[in-house]
Amino acid sequence: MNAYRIVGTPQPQIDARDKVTGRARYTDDIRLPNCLHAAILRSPHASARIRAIDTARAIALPGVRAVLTGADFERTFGVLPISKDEPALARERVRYVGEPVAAVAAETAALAAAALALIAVDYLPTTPVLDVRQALRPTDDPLHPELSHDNNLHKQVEQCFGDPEAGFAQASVVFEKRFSFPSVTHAFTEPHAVQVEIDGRGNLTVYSATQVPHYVHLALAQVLDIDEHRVRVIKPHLGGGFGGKSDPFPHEMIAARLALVTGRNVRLRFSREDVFFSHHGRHPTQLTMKLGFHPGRGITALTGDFLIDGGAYGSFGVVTTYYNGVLLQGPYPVPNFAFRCRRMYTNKPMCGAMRGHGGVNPRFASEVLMDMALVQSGLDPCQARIDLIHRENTLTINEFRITSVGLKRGLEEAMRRSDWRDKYGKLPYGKGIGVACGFFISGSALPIHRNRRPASTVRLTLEFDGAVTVYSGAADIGQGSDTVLAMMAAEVLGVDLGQVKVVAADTRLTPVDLGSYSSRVTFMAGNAARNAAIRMRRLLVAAACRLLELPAPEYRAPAPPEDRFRQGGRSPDFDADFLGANPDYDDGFEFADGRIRHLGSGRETGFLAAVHAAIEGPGVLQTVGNYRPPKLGGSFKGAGAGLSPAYSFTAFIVEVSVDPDTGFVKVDKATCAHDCGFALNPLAVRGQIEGCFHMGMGQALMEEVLHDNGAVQNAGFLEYKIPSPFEQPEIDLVPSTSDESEGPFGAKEAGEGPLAPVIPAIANAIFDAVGVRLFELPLRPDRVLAAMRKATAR
Amino acid sequence: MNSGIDGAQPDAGAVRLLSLAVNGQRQQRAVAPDITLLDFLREQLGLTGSKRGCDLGECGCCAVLVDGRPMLSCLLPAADLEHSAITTIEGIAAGTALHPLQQAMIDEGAVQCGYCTPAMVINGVHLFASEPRPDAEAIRTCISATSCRCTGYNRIVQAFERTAERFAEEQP
Amino acid sequence: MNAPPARFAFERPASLAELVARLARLSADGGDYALAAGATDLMPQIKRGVKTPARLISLNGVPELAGVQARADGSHRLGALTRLADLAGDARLRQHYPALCAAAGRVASPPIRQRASLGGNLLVDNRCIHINQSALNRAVHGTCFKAGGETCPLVKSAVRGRLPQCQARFVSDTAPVLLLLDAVLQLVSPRGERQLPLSQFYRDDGMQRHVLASDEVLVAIELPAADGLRIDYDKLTIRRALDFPSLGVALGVRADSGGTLGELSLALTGIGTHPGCWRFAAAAYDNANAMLDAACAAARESATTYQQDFFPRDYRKRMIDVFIRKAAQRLGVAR
Repeated sequence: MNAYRIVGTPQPQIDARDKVTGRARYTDDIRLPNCLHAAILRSPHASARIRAIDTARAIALPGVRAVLTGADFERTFGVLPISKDEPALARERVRYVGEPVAAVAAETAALAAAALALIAVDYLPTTPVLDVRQALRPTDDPLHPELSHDNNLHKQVEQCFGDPEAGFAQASVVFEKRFSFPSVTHAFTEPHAVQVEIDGRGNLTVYSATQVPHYVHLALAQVLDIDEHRVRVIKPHLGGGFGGKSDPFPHEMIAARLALVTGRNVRLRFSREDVFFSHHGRHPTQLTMKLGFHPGRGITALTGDFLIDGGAYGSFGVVTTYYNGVLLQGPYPVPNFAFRCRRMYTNKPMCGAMRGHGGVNPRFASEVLMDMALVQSGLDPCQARIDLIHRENTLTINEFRITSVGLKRGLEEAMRRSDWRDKYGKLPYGKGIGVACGFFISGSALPIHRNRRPASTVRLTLEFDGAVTVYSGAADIGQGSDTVLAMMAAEVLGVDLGQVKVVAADTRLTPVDLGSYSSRVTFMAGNAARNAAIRMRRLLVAAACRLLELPAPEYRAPAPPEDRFRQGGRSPDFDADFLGANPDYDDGFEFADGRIRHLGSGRETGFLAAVHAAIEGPGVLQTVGNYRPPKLGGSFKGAGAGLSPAYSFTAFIVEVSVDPDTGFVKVDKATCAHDCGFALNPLAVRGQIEGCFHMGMGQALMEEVLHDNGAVQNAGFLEYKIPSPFEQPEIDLVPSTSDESEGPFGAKEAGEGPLAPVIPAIANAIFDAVGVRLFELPLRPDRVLAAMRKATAR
Repeated sequence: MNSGIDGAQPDAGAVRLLSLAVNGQRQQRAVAPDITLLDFLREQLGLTGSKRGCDLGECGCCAVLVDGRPMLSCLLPAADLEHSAITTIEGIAAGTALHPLQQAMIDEGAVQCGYCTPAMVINGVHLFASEPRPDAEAIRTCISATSCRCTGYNRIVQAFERTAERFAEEQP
Repeated sequence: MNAPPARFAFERPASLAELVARLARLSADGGDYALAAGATDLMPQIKRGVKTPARLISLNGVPELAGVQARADGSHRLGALTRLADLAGDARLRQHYPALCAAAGRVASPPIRQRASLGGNLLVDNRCIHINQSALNRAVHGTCFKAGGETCPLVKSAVRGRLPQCQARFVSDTAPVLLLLDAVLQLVSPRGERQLPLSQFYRDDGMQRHVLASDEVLVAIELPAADGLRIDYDKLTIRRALDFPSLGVALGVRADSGGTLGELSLALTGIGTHPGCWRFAAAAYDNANAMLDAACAAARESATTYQQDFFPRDYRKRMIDVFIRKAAQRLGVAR
């Protein structure tokens, strides 16, 4: 039963009406006056020295206002302070086909394009490094000589916990397999775009299709070498991100520089091909994984050796390198665990964060190996997984604090609803059912830039007219974060959802939020919004008490951390005014229907009357809420990677048909149990899970970025195959909730975790259908058919 | 557009005057011969509801109704549309009254990032105009016109089914 | 400031006579133009710079190209401008030529079918991963023949000028069905009108794909009565929307006067530079299975596949047999 009026009820996005009527403004929909159009010249070489760039003819073209080259940008940048290795425009060398080399601002888009054709770049092509094995070889000319590596290694991580050898010795079955994954890309629908407005004092307002306005703000100031206060970044409506817009990008630097140089407003948008060049998708991965299992002990050991292809630059790659390993610490205990992950530079578009960041490919490997081990052990793969899932309030071997876990009940229910016991191993040849599980972070506990500021801060105002405004830096990228923030504020303040306005993702008007990545927004900005609303509620309660001549309520302090997390974790970082992650707002008043009622006495006053009483002194009602993750984790090197205040858990049961003649795999049905704690907006949770299934199924069955001589060969929606509505099955969503004490109203993430288990669930269902295991994605019909023929031949 | 049989067409490459109706309003504008309808709508008329996702006819986000039929405006030379009646997403709702499909898209959670939404609605409006009670196959075919990466299509299918039910209730 | 010139000039003749006269004039001048109906295939190529016609001549104002006429003898005339959506959705045509309507309904996406024409689908350009790219990506391998370059990334030994010089593959969904239906093209040029069987229309080359003269216009497609011919068309694509066929198989069966299988016919698309088409008369074979085996063998032997789309070449070739036999099953013929 839902105890709340608004949270926990399905709510359409607050801007849905704008979206269905075409009124919603995305970045390229903005029309700035007297605007120049920018265009970018891109490298046709995967690897080359730039000997000279002649821009004279371009700049001489009437209507061209500025031409930039690498010489106009001294500083490189990158989303992570530890790998700021990317130039806004290539200097001295180009490292991938499509890399920005020069840029033009002109009076029209056609003129800008014409000017590009007049720029002469003298390249000396060099031998490109096109795959990870090649990248491992020693070279005296690595892509990034600044790292002083004798090959093209970017980052290597090795961690070991427990004693893997001893663990394997305890196992009754051990499987070791090699797996291979191509790159896949986000394929969000809105191409990147940026517009820059410059005022008479040289202040820049940068409208950008970004998930991370704050990081773009910082990077712009650094790269352009201007004071941070001269930059303002605004994220308009955004047409999907999935991690592909979570870095600062060269085109943002370029457009801003062009505005500074010309003193004019500048507009720049990407073609679809540009988006593929920009990429930042999932890393191609070669991995070997070994899993030991014993029916009485569970997983006894897990080891992995991962080789990931980072492309030309760093992006989030250092994080990815860790996540490949550490995100294997759930959803089951792994007592002995070791991995090595090496991220290599190659002459291809860079890889970065993509939905399920770093955890997706290893999850495929571990869940396929798990399936093999369970089948070999004669166990039911579904029941056995239920028995193995983490218990609540435990510590993993690498000191992740596992708090709420709702998946055991959820998977039991999914098993019933899918008729697993009647289907598994019992369907006719060509039909199969499979299961896989996963887990994911609800935001990273540690910030990218080391500082002591909150992870998210929300400012809330309440005006004379009763309008509640939530000011949040969080970026709604289509997932509906504005809506969920508004829902929480409305819930706490007892007002209608329509009464809450959201001003978000504007780095001048909104307090810092780190951005929409790592599934952090609902959890962190959500806690901040809720805390701000609770403080506002206290102002109104105080005013109501004055009006009703009641004594002010005494607020209980939040429960001490040791009570809330009986095991693991360390004490949250309380300061004097910290509301705690989940302070009670049970203050003895009911806020509803425009009234504030004291429950004890039955006395009540109007909401607006309380607002007017409260506002008399300050003139405006304003509160601030924030969220700081508790101190978590061990003290070993790399202990911070993968730390999160709470983890989501997911299981998918998938039914497939495999055509024995063609090898085509059709997903007939999926049943999902996802533990997102408390579902704040069940409609949005469902949408996230169904979207995750689409993307996971795409990676499982058809998606692959193809390269040819380093160039992306399928840089469009015709040849990069994402599933159509005909492939998407019905998805039965079973209740699998928990009460996450750290989450706002008990919530955890829902946007990324559900993706990873989709892929192994499909593979495991294929095994049930036709008896073959595949270790390379995508599970294309030709591969399935070849495996079936091989199996028949044996 | 008149062109002489004598082959004297000095103006074929020049800016031409195009007259057509957009959302019921007659427009007469000078257009370059190579401009697409999408550019005409977005850049000359400022109607930005039609989205540019690929500009190559692959994503479907730029769909508009041309004389009642959904077409991809990024593939249409504007000059070829003399005297046509164009309806963009901005012209679908009647004043403040949404088309039933628009309302269903909102209610069923079919709208996430919203970038494909205008085209989904445009194609759907045509579907329900020609077949008020489309079957599941017709619905999925209609939705397949537009690439959506957020929703997995399930909520969109649901919105279309709700709309079909609503039309069925109104005209049993 | 000087605006750069438009990518193309635009004309829209209002009658067939006007169009033909215009083509006569333009051809005499060297004729750098493209005819366009739906332009759904042409516009992406223009935007990517694969094609750079100085002039785009719209056929949409030519009334002689539009319309569907049914004749009493069961034959039909389909104007070249017939939109694929109209063809797919035409209830009367569906009674006569259900496979043609179904094939038309499998082209691209619904809004593209609203604009794209039947004539355009017969003339849809051959495709290859090396040509349907931006200028930047086309140059990665050294520009290919079809893009005006000197190499073929698929067939290193290919020589410009010697057929087949280009292996860009044929991708029309409607052509294989129309071949089995014995379609005849009505073509008009300044030299007059001619009727050409579709079976004589295509050439074995990804660049010079057909025998249509540059000043010749496809006016209509003449279809004889289906006359007991039943056709199944299916295409190999990884998803059920948007994609061109990686392989398309049209299989036709015609009963003889006694009601048993009299003729089997087969046409392929998506593989090779032009659609293959074969006919097998019952008299020459022991039974239906033998006819089917012969069809599979003929198709298999003719097909050379290249790595130029989503599916590996070997798989596409292997699927020829599978698709033929699945079609035969759906038609109730043989195994």
